[in-house]
Amino acid sequence: MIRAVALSVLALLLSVGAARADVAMAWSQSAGTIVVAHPKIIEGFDRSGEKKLWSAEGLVSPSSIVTSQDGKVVAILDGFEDQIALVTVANGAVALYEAPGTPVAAAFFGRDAWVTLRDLSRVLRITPDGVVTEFEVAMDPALIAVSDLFVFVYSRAEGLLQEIDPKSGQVTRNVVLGAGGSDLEIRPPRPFDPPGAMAYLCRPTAGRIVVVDLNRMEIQERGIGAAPADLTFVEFGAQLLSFDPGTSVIADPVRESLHIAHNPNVPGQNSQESSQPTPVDRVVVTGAGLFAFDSGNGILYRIEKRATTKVASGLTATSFVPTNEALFTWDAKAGKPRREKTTE
Amino acid sequence: MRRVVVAFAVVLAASAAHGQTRITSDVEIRNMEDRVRKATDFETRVSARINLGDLRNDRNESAAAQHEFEMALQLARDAREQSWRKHDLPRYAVACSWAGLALAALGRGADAFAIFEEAVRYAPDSAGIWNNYSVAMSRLDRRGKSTGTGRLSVAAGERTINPTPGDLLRLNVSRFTLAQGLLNSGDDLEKDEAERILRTITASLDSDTFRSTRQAVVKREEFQILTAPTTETGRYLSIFNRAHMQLALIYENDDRIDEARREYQAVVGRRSDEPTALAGLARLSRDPKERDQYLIQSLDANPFAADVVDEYQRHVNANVASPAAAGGSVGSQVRLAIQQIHNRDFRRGRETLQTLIAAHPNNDVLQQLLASVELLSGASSGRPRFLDQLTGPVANPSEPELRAVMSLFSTNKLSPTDRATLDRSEFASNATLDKPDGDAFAGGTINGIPFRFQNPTRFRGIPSAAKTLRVAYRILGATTVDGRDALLVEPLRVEVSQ
Repeated sequence: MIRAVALSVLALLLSVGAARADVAMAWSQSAGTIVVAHPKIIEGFDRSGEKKLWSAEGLVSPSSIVTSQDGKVVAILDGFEDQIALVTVANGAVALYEAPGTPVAAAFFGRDAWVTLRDLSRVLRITPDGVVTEFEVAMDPALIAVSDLFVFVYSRAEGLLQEIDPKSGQVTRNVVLGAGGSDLEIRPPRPFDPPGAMAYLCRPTAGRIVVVDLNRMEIQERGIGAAPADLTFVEFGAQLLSFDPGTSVIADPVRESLHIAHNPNVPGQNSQESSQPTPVDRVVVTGAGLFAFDSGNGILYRIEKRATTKVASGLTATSFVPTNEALFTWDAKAGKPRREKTTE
Repeated sequence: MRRVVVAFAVVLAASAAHGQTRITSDVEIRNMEDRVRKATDFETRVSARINLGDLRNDRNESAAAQHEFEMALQLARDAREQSWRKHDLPRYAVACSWAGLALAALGRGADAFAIFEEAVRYAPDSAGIWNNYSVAMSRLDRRGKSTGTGRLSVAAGERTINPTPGDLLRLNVSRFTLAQGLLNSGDDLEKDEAERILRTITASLDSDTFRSTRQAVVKREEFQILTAPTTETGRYLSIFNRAHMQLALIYENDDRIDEARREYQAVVGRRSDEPTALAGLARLSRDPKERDQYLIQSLDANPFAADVVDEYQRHVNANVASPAAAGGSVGSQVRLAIQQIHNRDFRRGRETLQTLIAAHPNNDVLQQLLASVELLSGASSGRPRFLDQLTGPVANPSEPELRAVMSLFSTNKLSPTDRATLDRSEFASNATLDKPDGDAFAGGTINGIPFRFQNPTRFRGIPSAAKTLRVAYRILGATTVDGRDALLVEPLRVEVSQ
C-alpha cells in the first residue's frame, strides 16, 4: 500500500500541560532512522532511539511530516511560518524552501515532493535538484496522495478529487466526492485485482466513506458509524499477530470506536465495532502494531484483537512514531526519542 | 451532522495608523463584565472575554487585556474538553476556534494555527470558523493566511441556500474580514478588490433585507461596536461601523476627501459620538473651529485613543484649540492636561494627570503624558523612561521622549548601557512618509519630528502611494534633515494606514 498523507497537522492539547505542539516525528524504514523535527532543529536517531546520527538547522514550528516511499527523504512543513524542509535521511542535509502560501499537506511521487498550499489554491512540485513549480487546483486543497501513476489532490471546500499528471502538473481528470473530507488513502491494485488504484475518502461530517475506482473514476459511498475520521489498512506482508493483511481500520470519535473490516476493497463492510476507552480519531499501523490516537485528550492506544492498551498520554498527532519494532515518543528532557512499552 | 452557528468575530483594524476604530468607555466595560457574570452559555461568555480584552487594549490597558484573553482561553479549553467527551464534534470545532482566537490575541501564533487546523478538520464548511481563523491570522499579521481563510469563509457563506437575514449578516462579516485581509496585503489590486467588497457590504446593509434590523438597532439604542458581537443587532452595528470606517480611511488616504467625509458622516449618523469617525472628520476639516469641535467630541467619547491624543497635541501646538475647563468629562481633563503641558504649566499639568491616573490606573496614554511632563519639566533629568524601564516594545513614544533621545545622542550623554538598551528596543509609531524616490522611502515625520531611514527603503507589499504607515523601528542615532534635528532609524516592519 502506498501510504497517503492526510492533513496530519498537530492538534494542540490545551488540556495537557506537558503536551507541546511543536514536535513532529517520522520513521524511515530503509534507513532505519527516526527523524525528529522540533523548533529550529531536525535530528536523526538510530532505530533504538539512543544514538543521535545527525543534527541540522530546522523550522520554527514544524506542523507536519512525511517520509518518501523509498525512505530517503523526509518533508517537514511549517504551516504557520510558510516553510518547507526536505531532509536527506542518510546525512541530515536540509534544503529549506519558502512557501508562497500555507503548506498543509505533502506526498512524494518518486523523488519529487508535492505540497499543497491552501491560501493560493495551488500545489507545489519540488524536484530533487530544487526546481519548484506551482500548479493551480480547486479551493482548499487539504489532502494529497499518490498512486503509481498520478498525484491526487482533494480540495475540501468543493469536495473535488483532482488527478494530476506528475510530469506536466496538469489536472487530467476530476471527480466530485463531497466536501469536508478528513483523510485520503490510495491503494494500488493487489495481485489478481483489476488494474488501477482505489481511493478512500473519510467524510466525518457526512458519516460516510467514499470509495473511488481511480481507473474508471467511479464512486461508491458507504455510511459507516457516526463520524469516520481516519482510515488505515494493514499492509500485505505486515507481520501483525492480531490482524490479517488487508484489514481496514476506521476511527470514529463520535462512536468512540474503531470499525475493523476484512474486505480491503470495501472498508467498513461487515465490520466489527471495537469500543475504545475515549474518542479516537486517528489510526496508524506499522510492524510495531496498530495504534489509535485520541486528539482531544492526547492519548495513544495500542489495539489488539481483544484488548486496547494505553501507551502514552500528553501527545500530539505528530509527537509519536511507530517504527517496525516499537513505538517512540519524544522525551524533551532527555533530548531523544523514548521507546514506549506497548504491551502489558 | 447538525449545523452549529458560530458567533463571528469581527476583524480589528487596530494596528493601523488611524486604527482606533472602536470606542471604549467605562459603560461598555461594565456592560461586558456584567454579561460575563450573567451568561451561562459558552459563546456569550467567551466572546465577552475577547471583547473585554479588546476594549482594554483600546484603553491602552495591556495587562488587563492580557488577563481577559487568558480567561477566554481557559473557557475555550474547558468547552473543548467537554464537547470532545460528549462526542459533539461541531461544538468541539467551535471551541477550538475560540481557543485559536484567544491564542492569537495572546500572540501565540503557531499554537493558534495548530488549533484552528483541528477546528477546520471537523467543521470545514463552517463560514464562522473560517472567519474566526481569518481574524486570528490578521491579528498575527499573517496576511496571506488571513486572505486565504477569509476567501474560504465567504465561499462557505455564499453556499448557504435560501439565506436568512442572519445568514446574510454573517456573510457580510466574512466579506469584511476578507476585505480587511486584502487591505493588509498592501497590494493595489487587492485594495481595489477590498473597496468593491466594502461597497457590497454597505449596500447590503442599507438594503430592505435589514429594514427590521435597522429599526431594532434604533429601538434598543444599541451602540456597542464589538469584536465578537453575539446579537444580530450588535453584529449589524459592528459591521456597519467598520465597513464605513474602512471605506472612509481608504478614501482619506487617496485624498478623495468628499467621499471620505461622506463615509465618516454615515458612521456618525448611526452613532453621534463615534470617536474615530469624529477624529477623521477633524482631520478632513479645513476650519480650525470645526476641527476643534470634532476633536473635543472625539476625546469626550474616548479620551485614551493614542492617535486622537496625538492629533489634539498638534492642534494645540498650532494655537487654535479652545480652552479646556477643569472638571467636566475625562476627555475635557485630558485636553486640559495637554494644554497645560503646551503652556509649560508643568505643576498643574502633573496634578491634572495624577488625578486622572488615580481614576484610571495602568493607562498607557496617561502614563506617557505624565512622562512627557517629567521630561519637559526637567524632573526626570532629561531621560525618557523607556531607557530605564524597558519591559518590551515601546508603542507610540511621545514627542518629548523622542526629542530627549535625540538630545542625549547629540550631546553624547548616552552610556554604553543606554546604547545597548536602545539596540534591543523596538519602537512603533504612526509615521507620515515623505514622497518616495521611485518606490524607495528615505524618511518622514513621527509626531512632528523628522526622521531618516538608515538607507532609502522599499517595503514589500507597500505601494509607493501610501503616505501614512505604522512603522516598527529601532533608533540608531540623531541626524539632521533640512537643517532640523532628526532621528536616524532602522525600519523593522511597516503597515499601510487603514
